[in-house]
Amino acid sequence: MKGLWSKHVPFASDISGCMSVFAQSSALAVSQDSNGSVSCLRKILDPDALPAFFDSVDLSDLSYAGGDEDRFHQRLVDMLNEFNAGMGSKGTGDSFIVLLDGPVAALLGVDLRSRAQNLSAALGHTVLAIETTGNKYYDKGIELAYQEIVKQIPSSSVKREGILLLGLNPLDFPDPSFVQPLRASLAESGKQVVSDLGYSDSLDAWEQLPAAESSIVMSASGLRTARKLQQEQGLSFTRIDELDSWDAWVHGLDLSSCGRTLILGEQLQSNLLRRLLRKAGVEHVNVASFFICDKTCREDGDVKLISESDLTALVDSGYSTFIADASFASFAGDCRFFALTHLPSGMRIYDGGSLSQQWFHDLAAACK
Amino acid sequence: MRSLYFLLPQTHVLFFGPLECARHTFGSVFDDPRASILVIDDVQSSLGSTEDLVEQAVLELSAKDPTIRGFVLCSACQTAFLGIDIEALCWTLHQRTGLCFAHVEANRMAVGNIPGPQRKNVPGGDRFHIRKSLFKMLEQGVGKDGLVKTVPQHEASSGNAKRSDGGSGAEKRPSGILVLSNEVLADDNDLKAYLDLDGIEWVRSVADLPGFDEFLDSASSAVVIATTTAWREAGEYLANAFKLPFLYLPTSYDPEEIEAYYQQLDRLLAGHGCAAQWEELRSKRASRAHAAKTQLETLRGCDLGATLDLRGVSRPFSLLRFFASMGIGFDGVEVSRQRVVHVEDDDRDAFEWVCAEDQEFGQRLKGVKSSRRRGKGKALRTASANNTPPETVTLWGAKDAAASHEVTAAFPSNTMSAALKEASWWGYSSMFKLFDELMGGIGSSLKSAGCEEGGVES
Repeated sequence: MKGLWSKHVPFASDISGCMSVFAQSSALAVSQDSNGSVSCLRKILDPDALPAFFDSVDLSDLSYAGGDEDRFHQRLVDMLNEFNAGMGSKGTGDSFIVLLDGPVAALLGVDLRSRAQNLSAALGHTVLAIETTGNKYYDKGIELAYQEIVKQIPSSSVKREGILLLGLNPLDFPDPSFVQPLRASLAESGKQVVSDLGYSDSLDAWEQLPAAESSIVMSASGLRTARKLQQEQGLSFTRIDELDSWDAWVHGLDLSSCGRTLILGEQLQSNLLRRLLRKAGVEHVNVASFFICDKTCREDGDVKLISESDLTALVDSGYSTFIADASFASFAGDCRFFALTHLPSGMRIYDGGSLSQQWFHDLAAACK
Repeated sequence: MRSLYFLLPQTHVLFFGPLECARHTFGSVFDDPRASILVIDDVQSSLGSTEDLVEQAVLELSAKDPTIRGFVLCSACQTAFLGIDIEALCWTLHQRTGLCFAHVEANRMAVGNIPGPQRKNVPGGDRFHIRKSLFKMLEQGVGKDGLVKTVPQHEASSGNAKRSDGGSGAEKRPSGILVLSNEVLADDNDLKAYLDLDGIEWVRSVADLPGFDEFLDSASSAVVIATTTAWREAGEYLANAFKLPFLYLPTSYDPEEIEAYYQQLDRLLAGHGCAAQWEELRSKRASRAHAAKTQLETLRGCDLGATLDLRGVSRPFSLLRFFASMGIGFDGVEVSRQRVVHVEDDDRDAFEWVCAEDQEFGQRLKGVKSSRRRGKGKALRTASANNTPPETVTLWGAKDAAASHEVTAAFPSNTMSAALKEASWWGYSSMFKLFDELMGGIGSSLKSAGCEEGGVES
């Protein structure tokens, strides 16, 4: 039955995804969802090591549901004061507030943008309003966050010569070392990264966005923004799976014994994995995803999954190898299973290792 | 939280609601065959599809697992805002399937879920309603005449598996003593002595229930006992709904208090057993009481140097006062913030006493009560004792050196790793359990000094 989960739990929501974009910022991110997204994030990120503060308006306060704007406003003021007091030397620039909607708030039709405008006028801080609902997956939240960030950046006539990284977020890319080969190859070709929209920078860096001449889309959550920037500002874009920056990771490896392989995860990162597996001799590789599954990034045999039973049926359809977050091991059936961490799916319940050169070497050793 | 939802045997937990709530509330039931999550998005719920989707899920799950006898349906805040009558849904599903259904509100705004104005300050206070809700399933399994119905054979129109529990109509179920506790009762639990009485056929905790039929027996309890505040609401519900005798008897280490508890129990169970059985039972109890007091004397003479883990102890301050009465000193009291912010009524006197006795503890309390906890965002709530912050006290010395067994060796501080989990013991057996913990922590040095170890044989 669609929507019924018995073997796995559903994945991180759009609110968690959205909050993760601001993790490295001087942001106070407040969700109206009674601690749901904050508690999820604390399972997979270390809030104490982050510049951002995450908090939520608790449902039991009723302030926002009952329309008590004064009380809601005061609550945010108190949060902001504590946030600024706690920032100290951690501040990486001007602090700002991000308001996010939750399931009940969305159902009630709370006017989040008005709240943000009123708050911004009263506090003199930038306040972003992002209309998440808690009903969609994390990648949709990342998409919304990028759209809101881009909206905030005024156009400029600066010379365009930098690179913008889109879709690089701590949920899909928990290991920052993954990006090193890309940064190295960009540096070699004299290209500078203007911004990675939150992965390692904050509001002040985002204002450099007009200096970008092209973008690299690291995950499918960045595709919509990339296309919008292409359409409106002429920024061309490339996808991560179209780059050869990571090809060296599989140099000399023979993974042909994997046979017919199914990868489950985020689409573009899975496409990159497919690229590298093919270079290592794996001929037949398909990608399946519960998340954004852009048609232009699919190959024949790739599948957009809706329900748990879809995945069970797919894995049972003749694959030899199944690569996914460790939490999906019980779906492997007769397939050989190799774990590859995907935080929004598995929430660190099990450790599977991130995509890296070492991961491929471990795979090769296991395949022998 | 996990242990609460799965307390009843042969039941399946079905959480339904938005994705955000599902992940947050039930992320811990990963790969548990006893739980499922039904994600209902805003469009589906707005269009009134919730009841149909829940029914569809129930039929699918019960077809996959015919051993399921009941469902715990957990709803979220969005469900409450839409005004969906889940109680009516439970009865409708019961009539259609013959299974029993309980509704647990995972909605933190529901008035019934809030035991008091300072809900957040009551340890686990936002979970009390779950225990009561689980027992509401009995209303579907017990007829108006108070007799427990067996699940009839039926074939649902959807092609659901035939249920063949046998029997037809209502039947009287065996009676016994129900202990409202998350813990399995220990074999040497004092209450099991009542099994010697005619008419008392079982002594169980909620965690002991082997099957759904035994859960239905709860409506035939001769007496229901709650040992902690968390279960009090559930006990009062059983008393009101099924006219069952209910006693709130929190675990004690005070022989006088324990004897008073037994007097209450004896009065309620007076209609069971014959005179000879009662005489035997009371004789055994007196023997245990004597043995407990003897152990007290033994411990009084020992030089202790031990750190006791207080997690799982429901009246920690009463416990410390008990130690003092034994002539055992204590210091370095460390308890969680919740224990201090909300002191249970049955521990309040002892709490005041500890503050007066341990000045350093009292001083630290002032800092805890006046400061507003501030972390980076909200801390995770943790439900199990194993995840709570460390709570310890160091026991030392023998204030009364006149006892016959004296050990003068200098003991290193030994940490007792096991929490007492005292809910599974009761009466004098709780005292024996405590003695075991202390003896175990002190170790072989006591043996060589001739001190007795372990519980006393009854």
